[in-house]
Amino acid sequence: MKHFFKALNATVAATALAASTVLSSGVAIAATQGTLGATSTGSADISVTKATVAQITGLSDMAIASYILGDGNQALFTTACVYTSTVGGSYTVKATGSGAASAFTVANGPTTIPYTVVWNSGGVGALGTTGAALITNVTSATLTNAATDSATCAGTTPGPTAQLNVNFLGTLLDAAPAGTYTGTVTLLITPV
Amino acid sequence: MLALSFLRFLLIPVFTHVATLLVSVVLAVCMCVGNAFAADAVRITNLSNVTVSTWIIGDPTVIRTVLVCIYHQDLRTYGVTATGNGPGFFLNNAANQLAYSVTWNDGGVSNPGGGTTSPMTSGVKLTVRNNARITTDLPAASTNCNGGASPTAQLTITLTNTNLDAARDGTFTGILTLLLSIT
Repeated sequence: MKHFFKALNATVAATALAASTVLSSGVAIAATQGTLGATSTGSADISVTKATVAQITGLSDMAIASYILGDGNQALFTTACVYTSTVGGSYTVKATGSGAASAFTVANGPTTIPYTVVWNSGGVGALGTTGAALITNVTSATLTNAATDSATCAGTTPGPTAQLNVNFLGTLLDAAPAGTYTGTVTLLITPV
Repeated sequence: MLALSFLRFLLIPVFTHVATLLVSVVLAVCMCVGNAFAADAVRITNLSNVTVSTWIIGDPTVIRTVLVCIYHQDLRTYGVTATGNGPGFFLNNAANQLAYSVTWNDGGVSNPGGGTTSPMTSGVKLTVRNNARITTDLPAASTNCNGGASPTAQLTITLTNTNLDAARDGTFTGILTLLLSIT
């Protein structure tokens, strides 16, 4: 009897990157010194640059513990805390996979299984499996709802602000040889 | 002839009086000039700009000090007025403002930050500050802390992390003007 089921263990590790933008502080004029007199006046320029920053934290690794032939499509996800210092919590996200040419694939030796990535930026309490379909190494359109009052999403409305969804087609999993497949998806958040 | 002699008799005292007046005027002017040379004088120098190139949310409160040279010709005391370009001590980025605070410490040459720390209000003079350089301090006649003279006071600028957290991203700038006066 031919066995058609196979065990498959697919894992996707998520890594996070953040980007910041430091605005130019311009050219400062030298402080002025006072001259000798009944009064004397000097001045100093004061300049402070608050950098525009973003941070993504709270990502978890995702795994299909054991896939058996016929189990069908597999949907994995991890929530994330995306923080930006921008007004309105706007940002872009760029995901890259660990496959050839940054492809979204998990691999077991030379064998790979592709997956797709969907980014949900619904904000606290409004996360889900829908959202922006990401293309590897392509920056998304501007997204919103990042936390703006706490870099760890522990502010006035605490909680994760985005969700990374990783989807495997059952047909591709069925076609893959049994084994453990692993990969990494890297996320770059840029404040906008 | 008699009339001419009479006229000269009348005019001589007048000329003498005018001459006396001229002398008086000249003397008065000289005395004024003399007083100008003796006028009290102050000088503030050694100021430097304060630049915080990058502040990121979560960073601590920013405290920056500037050591200042205060010279007062004959007396250790002086008055100082700090004025921001707010009104008040504010930095600006377009329509956005960022408040800061200013303190003054008149510790003197050996320890410019070790004296009395006084919070400043924009446009309000702090009177009777102490420990200014005077003419006889060594190096003698240094009015601007050159020649090895040391600063005599400490200006402290504080931007709280609370205010920075709440501020919009961007570069905030302002000018702090210090007016030094005799009293």
